[in-house]
Amino acid sequence: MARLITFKAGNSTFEAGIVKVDRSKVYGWIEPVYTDNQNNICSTASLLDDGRTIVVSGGLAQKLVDTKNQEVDKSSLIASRLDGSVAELKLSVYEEPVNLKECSMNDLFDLDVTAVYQLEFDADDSKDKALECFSQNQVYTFDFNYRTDYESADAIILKKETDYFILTGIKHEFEYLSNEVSAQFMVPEETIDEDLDFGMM
Amino acid sequence: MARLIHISDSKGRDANVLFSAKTKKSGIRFLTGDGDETHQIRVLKTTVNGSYEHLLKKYNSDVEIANALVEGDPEIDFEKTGYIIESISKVFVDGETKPCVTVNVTEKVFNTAGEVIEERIPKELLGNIILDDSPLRPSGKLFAKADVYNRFVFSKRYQLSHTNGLTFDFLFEIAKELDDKKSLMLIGSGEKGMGPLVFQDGGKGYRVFLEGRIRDKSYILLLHLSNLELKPVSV
Repeated sequence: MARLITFKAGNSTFEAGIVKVDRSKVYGWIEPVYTDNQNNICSTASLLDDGRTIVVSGGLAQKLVDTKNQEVDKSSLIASRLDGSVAELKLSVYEEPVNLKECSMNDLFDLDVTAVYQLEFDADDSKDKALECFSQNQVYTFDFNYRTDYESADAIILKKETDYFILTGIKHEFEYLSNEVSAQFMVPEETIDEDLDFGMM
Repeated sequence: MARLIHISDSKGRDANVLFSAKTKKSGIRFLTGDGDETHQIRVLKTTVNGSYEHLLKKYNSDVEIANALVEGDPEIDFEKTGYIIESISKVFVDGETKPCVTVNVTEKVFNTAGEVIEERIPKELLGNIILDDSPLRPSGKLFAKADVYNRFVFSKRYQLSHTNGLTFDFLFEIAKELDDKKSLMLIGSGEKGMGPLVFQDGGKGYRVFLEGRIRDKSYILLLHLSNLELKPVSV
């Protein structure tokens, strides 16, 4: 049985598991096949900048280092916001109930979606309660953390026909653009009484 | 960075205008106890000689590899392990981990059940957003916002912006028309404006919808990119 997330919308609470939805599950997928002239399968590897050393999958590692390039122990680090304040961990959606806040469908048009999840209900009771929360096709927003982390993704939960989906990603604010012309470039309308001098000598 | 896109409106007027994406950087940094900044580097763990496949060839069995690991460090290249990597290139290698001189590429197409339904020469998509002879056309197909918000997954969006007073008028009018109709307009390649858009050579194809918003004498005109419909999958 999938782990369940508890969602709270107003006085209603329901529980559901989530399943990731992606293109491969909706349309299928494409895999490239690389072969040499003898039709043997080739694989990809990395060539280091010395031009000689080949590294296969698993041969590289990411390390966190200080300004002297000394490796540091991740558990000893302090997470800080850009303003210098200490950042606090935000719990995974599995760790505490998720509070849903009603928003507008227009919020979806500001969200760059990076992941989509489909809700799976184990109990009819939970499905009925979800149905109540979405009876007017409401759209809700919340902060999403699949794992406990210092930053959350923006998320929107909505209903489509009989299914429920969570869309997570980054919400942007776009700037209205105007065409303000500086007063110095504005040309006042006026009638020219003088004859134009086409001789211009 | 803003790039140019060549589009036309419903009256058949066309112009090159700018488009750009918004990005959001992480607002968290990790500091040492002394307040030192940290950063990530890439280092070499092991070369081909230290890979499992190479060790298996050398020692013939997992048990022998385990014994060798207990007795020594066959997986470590003491000259190179720990090397900080600035840049790497992708190479194709054969079964012996030797670079391939010539590589032929095909692709297998799988359905959602994981069955191969086609083997073919890869289709390379060419960028089609800035063609001098053929601007991107609005298809004329309007989708009410209330109908599409739970129909398509918009994974990217670009904001269009004007380059001068003339293109301001051009974009403002498009935005106003869409704002009045509370709808998105499908915009695309081809004569009917129904084809997918590819923003760079070798990139992915997207269905693109134009949305306009108006406030006083200012506008927001967005390209919403989608390559996924919101559909349930079988679990």
